[in-house]
Amino acid sequence: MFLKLKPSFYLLFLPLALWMLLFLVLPYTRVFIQSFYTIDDFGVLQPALSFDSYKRFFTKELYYFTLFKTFGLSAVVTAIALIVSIPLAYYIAFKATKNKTLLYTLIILPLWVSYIVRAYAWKIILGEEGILNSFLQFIGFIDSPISALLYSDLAVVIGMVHIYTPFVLMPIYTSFEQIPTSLVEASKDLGANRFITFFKVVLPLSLPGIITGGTFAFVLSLGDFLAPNLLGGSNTLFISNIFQNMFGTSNDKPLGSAIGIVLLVVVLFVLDMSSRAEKRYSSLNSDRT
Amino acid sequence: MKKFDALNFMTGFLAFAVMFFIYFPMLIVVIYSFNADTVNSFPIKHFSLKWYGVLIQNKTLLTSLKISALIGIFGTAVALVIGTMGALAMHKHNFKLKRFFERIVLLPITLPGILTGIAMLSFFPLLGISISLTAVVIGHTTFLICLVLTQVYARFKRLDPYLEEAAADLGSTPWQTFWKVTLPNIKTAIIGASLLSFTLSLDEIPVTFFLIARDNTLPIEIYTMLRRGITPEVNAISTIIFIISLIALILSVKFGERETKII
Amino acid sequence: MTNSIELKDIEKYFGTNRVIPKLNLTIHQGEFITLLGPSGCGKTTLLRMIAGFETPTSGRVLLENEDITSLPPYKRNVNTVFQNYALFPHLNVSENIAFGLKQKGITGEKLTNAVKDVLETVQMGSFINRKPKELSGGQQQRIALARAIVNQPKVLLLDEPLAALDLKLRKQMQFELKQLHQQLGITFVFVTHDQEEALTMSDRIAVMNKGVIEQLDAPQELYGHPKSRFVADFIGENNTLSGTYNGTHFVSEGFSIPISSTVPKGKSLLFIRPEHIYIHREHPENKHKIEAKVIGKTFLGNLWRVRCKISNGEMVDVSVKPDEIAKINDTDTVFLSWNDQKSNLIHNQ
Repeated sequence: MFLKLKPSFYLLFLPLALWMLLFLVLPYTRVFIQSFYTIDDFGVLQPALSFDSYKRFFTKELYYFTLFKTFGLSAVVTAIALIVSIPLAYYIAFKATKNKTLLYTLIILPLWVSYIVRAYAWKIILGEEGILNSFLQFIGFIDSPISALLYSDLAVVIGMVHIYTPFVLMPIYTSFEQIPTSLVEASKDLGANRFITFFKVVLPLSLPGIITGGTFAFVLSLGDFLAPNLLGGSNTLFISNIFQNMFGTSNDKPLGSAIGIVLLVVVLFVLDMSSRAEKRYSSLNSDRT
Repeated sequence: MKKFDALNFMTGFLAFAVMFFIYFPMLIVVIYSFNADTVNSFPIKHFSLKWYGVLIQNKTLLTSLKISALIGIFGTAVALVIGTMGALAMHKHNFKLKRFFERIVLLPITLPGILTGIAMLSFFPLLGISISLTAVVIGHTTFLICLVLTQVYARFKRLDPYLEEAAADLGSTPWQTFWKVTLPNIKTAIIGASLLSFTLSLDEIPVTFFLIARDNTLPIEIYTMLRRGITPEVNAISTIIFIISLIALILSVKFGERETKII
Repeated sequence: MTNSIELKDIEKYFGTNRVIPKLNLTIHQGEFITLLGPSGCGKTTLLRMIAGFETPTSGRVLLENEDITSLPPYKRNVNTVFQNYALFPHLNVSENIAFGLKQKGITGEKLTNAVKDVLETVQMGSFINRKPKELSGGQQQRIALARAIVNQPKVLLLDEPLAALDLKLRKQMQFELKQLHQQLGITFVFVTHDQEEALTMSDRIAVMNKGVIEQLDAPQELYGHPKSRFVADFIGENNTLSGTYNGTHFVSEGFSIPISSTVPKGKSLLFIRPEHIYIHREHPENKHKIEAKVIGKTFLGNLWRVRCKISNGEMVDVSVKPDEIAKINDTDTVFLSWNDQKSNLIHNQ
């Protein structure tokens, strides 16, 4: 396939291709192969072509139930992140005039701030002896601390929404920015009020950005195992936590690999659907990368 | 005087509320880093720099910071070379699998880190790379290469193709053209990509988590501390990380133009 | 006259798509030649092969009798003015201009003087330290020109350099380019799709269509004696009548015009430009006359254009002076005539 290309091409491209092959493609291939292996009584891998791991995954309730729960919670996170992002992006894109650059910088700043710091912040806010509880006690709203705040589904959802909202904000803001003002003016000129203009012109035109943002939030939540670890209780398991466990304490690499492949397929499917949807709904000729 | 506009007010209020939601937790961490008490509760009784002092004494934490910085610098340097070379190859030449390859290099950025981490954990030992800092460096470099490649390649796509032809027309060999014309025009993208790479490497957990042996990186060290129970010095180190991120961002906004956005 | 550029049996494929089939072209030393044609006709590809950005699939490119077919652009003593100027955005005006000379190892005072001189030539002396983005389109254009000519190339290639300028500035630059050409005495190869630009500037014009040079002639010859329907239509306004030539007459449905021509008998086309046609209300004495019906008229400023339908169903446009237009009304029956020498008869395969 590369036959006709000049030697300079190989020189430039070879390190990249080799690196990606060795450290990315082959590792993923290994997981795929490993998912068909079996283990003996001592947890040692035995090469085989067995569908046992997949069978176990889809028959044991804990596993497939967790997968569904992960879907559900990720969808909730995505929905909230979208609802929260749209007004802010709209405000910065269309309403803010003076401090636009500052506001823009402010919404991308969290992307640069450590994940662990943001997750940690919720831990000290929501903890049993945490800031929220002591604040509520201080103002006399409650007598004894609410223990159910941290280590719950709610805490995980709040944390994830907080962590992933900037990822949603960015593309939505960008797509708002790309809408030519003349289109908004045309809509008003044709008699549409601001509500109708927003729902019939602005929102449809920014759909690609909304889809990108939503996909980010959904895929990132699907694969997150740290927020559930730090903020979730023992019963807030995400599929990634089970996945991680199989390579740790449970030591069942074939099952772990099978879960990994299922997760991979799901994520790739979501990404593919989203890029199709994005193409379908993009009506502005933009060179978004 | 402008007439009060309920709709505008609502949008403004919502926007402000969301901003507050995003920044409130981080502000809390910064404020409580000056809390003299061991418990993070409201109200703060005494302010002090005590925890910053404890931080400086914490050898493990400082070592982990050093390890993180080294991984970040090394990973970014290698990624810059390989990624820029790759971007140049893709920019200069057309080959059949180009579109496919453009998608492949996006995967390490878009796929959940845990998948990449476990894939590497499963395969690296077969290459003779034991679970160690070496493995972590390779892991980081892999997604940093993809990051640099995507960002620099995006700039190449916007680069006026006639500039390089003009240089050749005026007597520059391809090598001279690269140094005198191409590089100066993608410089900002490279600076932006390096800053972003370094910051991401510094923050990375999922891949590192599976490849690390004894010596922890900074975020893993913090994670371990959190698992053990909250120690107030985490507030202090978080504040420092927050400030470093802020500086990196300001620099990148200054240099990197729009490529620095992570998308 | 010595040859500056010779293109010999040039063929060019992009993939399986043949954009230029077997083409030959000789460009004389010091002439201003224009490659004219619609977009996609291969004119830019031809220019890029002379510059060295494209290699012909087969055939040879000679520069002053030396084969440069496989020489990379940076080893050819030709320079290009690009359509979008391609000024290096990271360098200022003087650094842009000095770029080529530095490649040749020229430094110091010699370099500074050369840059100063060429900036004087293009009347941009006071812009020496500006960055390209601080210049207007016309100024960028002058710098692009200066950057090329400062290297004293054997041939200057210009790829639609005026396309991005507004009309008034374009006219001005056309004039200056022509002057510059006379001043420098080097060969100019100019690419454009604008026929008026080509007519006003060139010594010779090569009209290209689908990778083929349809006609290569001086502007007056090209306008006066187009050798194909494409050339007749592409350059200026034109009327085409279709019919047959029987050796003495051009015959079509409802009329027959005596013409003496060397064109072989059979299907043929007759070209007449609107300004060469006279319109009469009464039957004229002239023997080249056709009856026609007025369909409509359009005001053009200095002239009116009257559209008529002739007996074979074809439309003919006629230029009419403003003081004569009052006499002509829609649906009138009129007579059209023209001078024998002003029409062109060609064989229609």
